[in-house]
Amino acid sequence: MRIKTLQLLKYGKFTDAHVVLPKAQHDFHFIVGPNEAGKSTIRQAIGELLFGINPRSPLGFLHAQSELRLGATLQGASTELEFHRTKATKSPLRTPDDAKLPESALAPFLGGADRSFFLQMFGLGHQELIRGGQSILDASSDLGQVLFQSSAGIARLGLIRDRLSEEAASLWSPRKANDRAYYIGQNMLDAATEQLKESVVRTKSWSEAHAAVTDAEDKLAAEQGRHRTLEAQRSGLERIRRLAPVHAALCAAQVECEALGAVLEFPGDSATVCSSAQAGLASAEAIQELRDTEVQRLTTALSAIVVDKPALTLHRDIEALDATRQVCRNHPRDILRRQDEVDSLVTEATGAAAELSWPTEEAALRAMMPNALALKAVTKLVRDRGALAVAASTGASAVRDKEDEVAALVAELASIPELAVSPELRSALEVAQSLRDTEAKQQRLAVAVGRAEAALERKLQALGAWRHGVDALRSMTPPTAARVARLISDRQSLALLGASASEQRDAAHERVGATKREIEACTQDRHLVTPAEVKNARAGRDTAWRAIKGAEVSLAIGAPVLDAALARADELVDAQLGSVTGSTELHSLQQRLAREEDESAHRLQVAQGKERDLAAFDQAWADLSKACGLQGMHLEDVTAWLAHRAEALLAEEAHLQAQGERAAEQEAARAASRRLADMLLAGRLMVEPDAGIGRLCGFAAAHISDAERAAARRSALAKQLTSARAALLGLGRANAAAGDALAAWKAQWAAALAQARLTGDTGTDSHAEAAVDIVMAIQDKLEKAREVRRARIDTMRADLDAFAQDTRRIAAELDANLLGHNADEISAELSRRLATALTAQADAERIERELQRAQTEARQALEAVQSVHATLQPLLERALVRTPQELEPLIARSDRARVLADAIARARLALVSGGDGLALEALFEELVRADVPAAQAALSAVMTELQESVDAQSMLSTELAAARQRLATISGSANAAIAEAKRQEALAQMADASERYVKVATAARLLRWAIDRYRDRKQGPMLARASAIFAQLTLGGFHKLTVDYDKQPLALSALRSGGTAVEIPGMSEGTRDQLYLALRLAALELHLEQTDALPFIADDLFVNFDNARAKAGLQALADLSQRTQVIFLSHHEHLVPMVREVFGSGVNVVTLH
Amino acid sequence: MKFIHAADIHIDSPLHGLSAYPDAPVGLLRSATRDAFSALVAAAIEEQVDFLIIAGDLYDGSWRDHNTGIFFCKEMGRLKRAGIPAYVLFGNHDAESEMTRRLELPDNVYTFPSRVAKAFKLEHLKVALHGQSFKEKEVTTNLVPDYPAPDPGYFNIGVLHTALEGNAAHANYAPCTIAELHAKGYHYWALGHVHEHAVWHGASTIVFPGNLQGRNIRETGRRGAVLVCVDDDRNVRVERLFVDVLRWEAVSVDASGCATLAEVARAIGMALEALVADSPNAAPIVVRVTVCGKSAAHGELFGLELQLRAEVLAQVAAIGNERLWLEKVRLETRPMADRASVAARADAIADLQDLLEEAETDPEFLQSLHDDLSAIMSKAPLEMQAMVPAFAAVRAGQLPELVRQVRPGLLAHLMAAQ
Repeated sequence: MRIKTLQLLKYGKFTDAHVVLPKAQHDFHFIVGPNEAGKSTIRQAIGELLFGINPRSPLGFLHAQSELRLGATLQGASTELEFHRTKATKSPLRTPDDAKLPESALAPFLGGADRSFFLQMFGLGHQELIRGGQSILDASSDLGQVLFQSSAGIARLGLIRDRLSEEAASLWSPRKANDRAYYIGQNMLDAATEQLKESVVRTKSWSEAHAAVTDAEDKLAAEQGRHRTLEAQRSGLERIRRLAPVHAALCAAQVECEALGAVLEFPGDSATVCSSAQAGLASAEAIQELRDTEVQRLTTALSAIVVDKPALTLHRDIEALDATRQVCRNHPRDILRRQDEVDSLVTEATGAAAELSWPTEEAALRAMMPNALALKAVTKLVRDRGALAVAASTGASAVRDKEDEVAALVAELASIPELAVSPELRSALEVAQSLRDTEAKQQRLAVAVGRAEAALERKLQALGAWRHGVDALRSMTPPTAARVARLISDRQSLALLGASASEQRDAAHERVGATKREIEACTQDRHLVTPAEVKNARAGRDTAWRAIKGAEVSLAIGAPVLDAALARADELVDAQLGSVTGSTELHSLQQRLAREEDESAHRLQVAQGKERDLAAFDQAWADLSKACGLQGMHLEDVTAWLAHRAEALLAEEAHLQAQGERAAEQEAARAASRRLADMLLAGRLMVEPDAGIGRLCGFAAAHISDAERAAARRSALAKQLTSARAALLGLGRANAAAGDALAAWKAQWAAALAQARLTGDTGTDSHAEAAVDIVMAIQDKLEKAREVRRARIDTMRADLDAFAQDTRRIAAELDANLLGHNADEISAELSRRLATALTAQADAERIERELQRAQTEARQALEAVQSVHATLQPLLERALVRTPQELEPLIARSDRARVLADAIARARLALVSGGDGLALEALFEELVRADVPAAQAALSAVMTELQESVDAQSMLSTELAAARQRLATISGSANAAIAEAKRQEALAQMADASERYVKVATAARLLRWAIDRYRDRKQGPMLARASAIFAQLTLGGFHKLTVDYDKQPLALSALRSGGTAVEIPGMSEGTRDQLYLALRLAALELHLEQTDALPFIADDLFVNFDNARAKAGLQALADLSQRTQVIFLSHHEHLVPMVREVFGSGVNVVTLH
Repeated sequence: MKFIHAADIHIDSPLHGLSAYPDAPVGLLRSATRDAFSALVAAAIEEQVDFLIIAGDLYDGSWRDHNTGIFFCKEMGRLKRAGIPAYVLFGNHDAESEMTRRLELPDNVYTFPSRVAKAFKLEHLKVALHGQSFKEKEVTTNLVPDYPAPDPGYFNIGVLHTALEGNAAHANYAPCTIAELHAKGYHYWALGHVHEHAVWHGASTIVFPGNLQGRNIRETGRRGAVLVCVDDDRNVRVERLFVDVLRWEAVSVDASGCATLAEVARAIGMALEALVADSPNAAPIVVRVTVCGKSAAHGELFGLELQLRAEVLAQVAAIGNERLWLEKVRLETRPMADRASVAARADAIADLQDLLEEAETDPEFLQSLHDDLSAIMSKAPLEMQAMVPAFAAVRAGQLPELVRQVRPGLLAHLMAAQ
């Protein structure tokens, strides 16, 4: 089948795009375009066209998913079909007119291929090519796998087989490991079995435990009965001992009671009442007398007190007057002192006025004083005058100084010369300065060269017997480290397998020996009766019986013989029955021996095989090492030797590098020195002909430094001169302004003096300032004098007048006689009278309160006396007596009778409560009959027996508890059932692991076997065809693929045109890719010989091919394109001419944009 | 009058085929038969039945732990306190057990003798129970002819442990026929031994209640006893009484529409969710999942069987480990490509198919495979031999059959691997 046209109707970025693939002699179509042009889309489109569009297609970004649509015209051997493919779930195949096509419409063209087969067999992309090349390397020692992978397009066959083997090993292997699923289950099984053994309780154990409990219970019950009997005895004896004293006291009380006779009964507290009443009466009467006396005394004292009530009426006025008097006491003296102060101030003011020739009388002076505004104007002008005069003076001086500075700067600038430095000189100096230390550096580089030489020699020596020249070392092709590691690992695996096989062989051998010994022991220790012996014995018995029965012998003679024969036969039969177990065991042992001998032989074969494998491996290594120039080297030393070789090559590179660095440094120093000298001479600076680079650098640097300093100084002076000239102009303007201000001040000064009435001698500034100060002082003195008069003197005089008026008003109300005295005296007298009146009033109130309290207490004392009399009265009336003294003896008799009655009652109660429930009569009888002195001894004996009984019960209780404990452990617990459940779980786990193991182990072994068979059958034709294609692809660099049948496992290698065999690990990555392509194309060609063709899609296969090999690849595809359609997708535009060269100018090239 | 008829209790016998995994409700399931029996006793007390019949196989034959007997006595003590007597007939398993002879039972438990058939009469109910226990494990004679004639005026119940007309799944002990039982003249036959529930109506009502608790994947569905109600006219009504504490179920999942392992796992998850949704009671379900159908995932499943189990366990955890215990995931899928279509490829895979078929007849290969598999088989304990079907095939030399079983999966696995 081939595709005639491909239509991308609505698919990915395409809309109604058509790719025409016309048939030609070579059915080859080259589709080229840059990235994103749609090549991958076309590759995917061909797959989905033939086998259906993915339900979750990523290509539905432009068109809706449901609208995705492809179309094509397919050509078969004799038929052609034009159809569309939609994404519909039902009827995805349509005609161009959108009529439904059956899903089987494509079947005649596809030849039974499904999507995965088509993509795997007829699709080959760059990724698959790389993966396939790698898979050849990975499986380089497994030819069958290589061939199978290549022809099936599967790159992970070995991985699958290894994964199956690994899974099988993770489940089970003969060697126990705790991380293997089977042995995890086995460990669980062992633990659960152990738990089950510990948990199971046999019925017999329960019966024994139950019987032990019953026995202990019976013994304990008997001992408890004995204990109860002893306890009854102990109780009776203790009762006698306890109640005998009570009984005796009862009898004595009854006798005394009868002796007292008839008694007048008083209440129990009568004696207390009587004595308390007598004491209370005496005390209450004494208190009553004391209270009456106090009342009398207080009444007398109250009547003796007199109170001045008018003074108390004016109480507040007198107190206020006294306070005013205290305030005004010093006013007359203060008034005189303040008046002196006023006079002094006025005198000072008039004295100052005289200095100004003003009037000296106070009123005239106050009229002469100028106003404050005029004085302030004069003061301000005085203050401004100084500043104006200074400004005018300093302005002129500054102008002169600045003019001198400008002249000096001009002179210095003219004295500094101008020096020039060329850029070339600077550049040459910079280069030369970087090499100033070149001599030291050259010495260091020389030392480094020496060290590198020594290091190279050491590394070469480390190569030992396999030392070669550096070039020879570099050209060697020893095995890679990875390959060596794999070889070592393989050898270790072989060695381990060999050791394991040897161990298993030895173990199997030992088991055979042990079983033989067991059989021997079994045979020797027991006499095993064979069926033949029994048969013989029975035959003897029957013969004897037949002899008797046939009267061949007499009964007397035959009977003993028959008895003996019977006994012998029975004995043998019994022995045979008894030895059935032994026979069975022996038979079992013999069977086991046979099995173990078979196993031992098998193990021996396995061990020998492993030894042969190891020897073959060592021989293979010997051959390989010889081919690599490492003959005789031990495999495990190769890694170290390779490392030494790499180090030697590195040391050689280091040596060459050091030499180069030293030569470069020498040349650079010479060139820099030459150029700097030339530049100095060009600047007309003379240098010594043989000056070194150091001196040249110093000379050039000094010259450049001088030039730079001069230029900097000239620049600074120019800036200063400009600045000074600008400042001079400003100073001139400021000096003129100061002169103008001073002239204006002088004009204002005369007017201000006239306004302040200071027209006298005030011609100078100091005079004017002094006159102003005097005027201000006069004004201050006059103001102070006025304030003292108003605020102090006038206020005190008003206070004294008010005090005198109040004093006379109060004196007139209380005592007119007082008006003849001054106000201070009257006020003092009134205060004294008020104090006396207040004291008398307080005394009277205090005594009245004490009198009321004394009267209350007197009444309470009288009531107490009456209460005591009332308490005694009932007792006196009951006894028919008048005084407490007569009452006392009667009360004493009554109390004694009561005590005796109580004692009798208590004794009877004690007998009842301590009598252990016996009736009083029975108790009296028991106590009367009891031998009280002997009761204690009897009690001691009973107590001893009781203690023995308690001990015995304790022991029996312990036994019973232990027995019950043993029985209680068999309480129906589910421990054993749970352990059994765990066992079953473990068994299930082991079974699951075993089941899976059988499957994967079988699959792994099956796959390995099938691969070997595949290799045996297919390698001939496939390798022949692949050899031809490989030679073509490598441009004759390799001409044949061969198999080394002397190696195990078989290894694939390629022969160079010179006859050298190159194994796969020795090939470059590109060559491996070409080998894989050759194998794939060979497999495809063989496949096409057996079945119908489908289009072969090649996607950028030649990414790692050089141009020549890419052309060879195209030629290989040209051969294929004669058998089937080849669609080649590429983004390499440069391949187009090559394609036209190989396929002719008429080849179909489709360019995508 | 009403009573409960139970049989095949097998107290403390373990569940088979369950491998434990993290979060599985092992604590609950390890005492399943006990818990089911306790639930039976609770039901008897709650229903206030007049008596309880146990028609054999109270214990598991080889089970020796006396604690099991003590547990039984304790449960009978609960019945005694509720005033309910129990009539126990010993079956083949009980005959093996030492506990049957030595255990001291409470006085509300009446056991049928093994020498002759005996009748217990309940005068207040006018009920006569006839039965004969097994004297030994293998009673192969028909016991029915020696059962007493029905007592007139009584509701006659025959208690019998029997395979009844040779039930194929169970040993053919005490065989008899249904016609024979009908002809005996009893009103009700309380049978035991067959673990599946069955009822026959006719002259007598003949009932197998089934075993009390399913113990392996062959015993799926609800399990328990029967509650029998008899009215004054001696009409019999039989109701199933489910007391099992967990249920075994087999779920078949069609993987035809699944292309990957993940899709298969999702389909299994949905099937398990449906199973749980269809089980209104909260009893845990032990489930075996069988994946079947022609599936594109066949090859992937072959190689990742353990991963599939892990994925299904994750689904189980999502549903609730307390509701489900996964017994096994059995793969019975078939590859999409049949033999002819693979052969039509005419490529290496097609060659491989032929080679794999050849392996079945290659004696050298079969011998090497036999050596491999014999190693694990010879180390496996005796109890496990029957649990792995492949061991039997290896023992019987049926290795070609084993290769035939593995071949399609391996082939599909290789085809799916790229």
